[in-house]
Amino acid sequence: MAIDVRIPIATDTYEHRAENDSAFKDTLESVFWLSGVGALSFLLATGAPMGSIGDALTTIGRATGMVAGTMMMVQLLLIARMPIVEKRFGHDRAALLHGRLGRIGFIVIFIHVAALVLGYGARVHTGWWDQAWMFALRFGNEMTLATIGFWLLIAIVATSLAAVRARWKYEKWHAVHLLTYITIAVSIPHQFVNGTTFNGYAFSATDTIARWYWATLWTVSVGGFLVYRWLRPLWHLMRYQITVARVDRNSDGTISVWMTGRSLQRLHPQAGQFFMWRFLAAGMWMEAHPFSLSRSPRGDVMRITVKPVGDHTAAIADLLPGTKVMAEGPLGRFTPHHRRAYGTVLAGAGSGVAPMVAILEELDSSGPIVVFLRARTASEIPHLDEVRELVHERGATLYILEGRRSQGWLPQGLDASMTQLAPAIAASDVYVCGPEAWAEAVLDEARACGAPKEHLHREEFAW
Amino acid sequence: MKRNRAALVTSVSTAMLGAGWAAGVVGTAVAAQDNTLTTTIGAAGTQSPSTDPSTGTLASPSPSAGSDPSASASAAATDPAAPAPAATDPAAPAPAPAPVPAGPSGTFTSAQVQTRYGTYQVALTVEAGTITNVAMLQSGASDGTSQQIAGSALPTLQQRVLSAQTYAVQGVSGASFTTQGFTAAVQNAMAQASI
Repeated sequence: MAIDVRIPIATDTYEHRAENDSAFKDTLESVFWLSGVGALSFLLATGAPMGSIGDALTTIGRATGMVAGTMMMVQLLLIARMPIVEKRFGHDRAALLHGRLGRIGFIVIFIHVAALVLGYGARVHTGWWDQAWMFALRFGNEMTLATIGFWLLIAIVATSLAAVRARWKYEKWHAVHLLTYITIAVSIPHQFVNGTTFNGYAFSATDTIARWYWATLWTVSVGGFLVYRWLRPLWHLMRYQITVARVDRNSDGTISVWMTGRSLQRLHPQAGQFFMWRFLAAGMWMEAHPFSLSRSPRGDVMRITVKPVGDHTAAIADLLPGTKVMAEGPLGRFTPHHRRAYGTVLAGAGSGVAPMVAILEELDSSGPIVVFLRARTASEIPHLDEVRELVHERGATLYILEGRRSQGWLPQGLDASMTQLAPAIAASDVYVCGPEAWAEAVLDEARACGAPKEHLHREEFAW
Repeated sequence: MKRNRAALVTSVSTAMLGAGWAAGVVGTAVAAQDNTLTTTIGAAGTQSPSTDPSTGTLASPSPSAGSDPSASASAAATDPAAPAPAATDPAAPAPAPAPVPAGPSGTFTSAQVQTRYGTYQVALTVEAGTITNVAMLQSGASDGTSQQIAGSALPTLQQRVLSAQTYAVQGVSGASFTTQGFTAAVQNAMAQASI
């Protein structure tokens, strides 16, 4: 393990990779954007009238419906965990965009419903109340379904807001969140039956194309979601047969789970990445949790290190060897593969130390490496012996930041700039994983010391 | 996003929306032209006065169908008063001086007029050159939108045609396509009746 025969990679290769990733990100965002613009173009091609208040509100309602539909499709694709999106766009960024689109999307859907109720009400001289009932009950089955979906969505949003306030467990929140699939499913029929642009009434040449266009977009997004989010994990379960090999209780209180499988190299897991792990044991198979690899994956062995903080994580200590594991991933772009600079600074705290061990193992000694590990006491740092050994082999510098929490990135009573501790900071990639406030403080300090934005890497276990 | 890529996406978006808008404008214009086209063809082809309305392909017993009789009844009660003398005089076996063209009588079925929200077809009942009833043989597509909008707009439009005795009546706001389809159908039927 000590001999590293890999050839150091030149920095222009990093630049090239970075450029590729940025091109992919731009392409992906452009495709998402233009899909929506395409739908709106088909809307205009139907001769969207704006002459009266009723007409204008109806047109706005139709347009916002398409925007909301496109946003739902994009959300499905972002959260489908497609390997290329995970690798080039990034899991955390995709999850953040998914959430942001969800919050905006709810407002857009609200406008869609409100504008159409008011618009139709104005056109037919029914009141908005009668018109809302008209849509709900007497407009056709598809519209009734969509109305149910809308109220379900309101209930989900209200519950989610309450959940945030009451600090629900993630699993409980997620169970409610999964109901949005029903919302999406029941909203699709009314788009094709009541949506004037897509209802297939071929009046002008573009109408048939519009229907096919919209059907294709939905097929790709729902299909992509089903394939990557459902079929692929099942396929992996059969293909790789990942099983628990050994469970260690470490001296710092953490638990290490060693897992083996068949030809795991084919999965291309990388140091710094994580999987959504689902242990197929009684009482545990319902939940999937994200844990980083705490050791660079070599051969058919993977290791994760878990801090027992909840019911689920505590139960991991009692896993029996031979337990089957469903693993969704590898996820995240928090890997040495995404390096751009000459030197490397690794900063980990708490369970964020785990990926640092793996990344450190993967780094070569071509550039200066500085490792910061933050804990209250050194005895709480997992795998500290491994880190010390790796630091020695790589010729790296290790700082153990012990002490009580403070406002900044250093413990109370310590004062130093990052430049003093990591002189090559401005020419280094900075990898940070740990509690949010501390991670932000580290990144702020790195920025203040001259590290450019594109050199900063941060892993948030964002779902 | 890089600036040149953003510019590219912006211009592609603009082009797409522009094309859609143009297609919408052109499509509407062509549709209007088509309607006048079907009018002339229909006038030559389906010259069948006194078509039994029940043979018309009335797929949808729409709300408008229900409101027809009352509309025509009130129209029949009020309207003939205006051009009355000419219409009532011939009934008396009196002098009957000049054969004042009393105008055609009968039921005139229009051609089918296609709009984005379905097909419109009317049957005009004409008595001595006066429209006394506008019956809907086809009143738009059967989907919720068309039914609701057409159902609300058609009685108004029928009333306006009966009182103004012309197809060129003021449209119903919020029902642009219904107005377009209905007036084109009435225009066509009037052409057949030569009024």
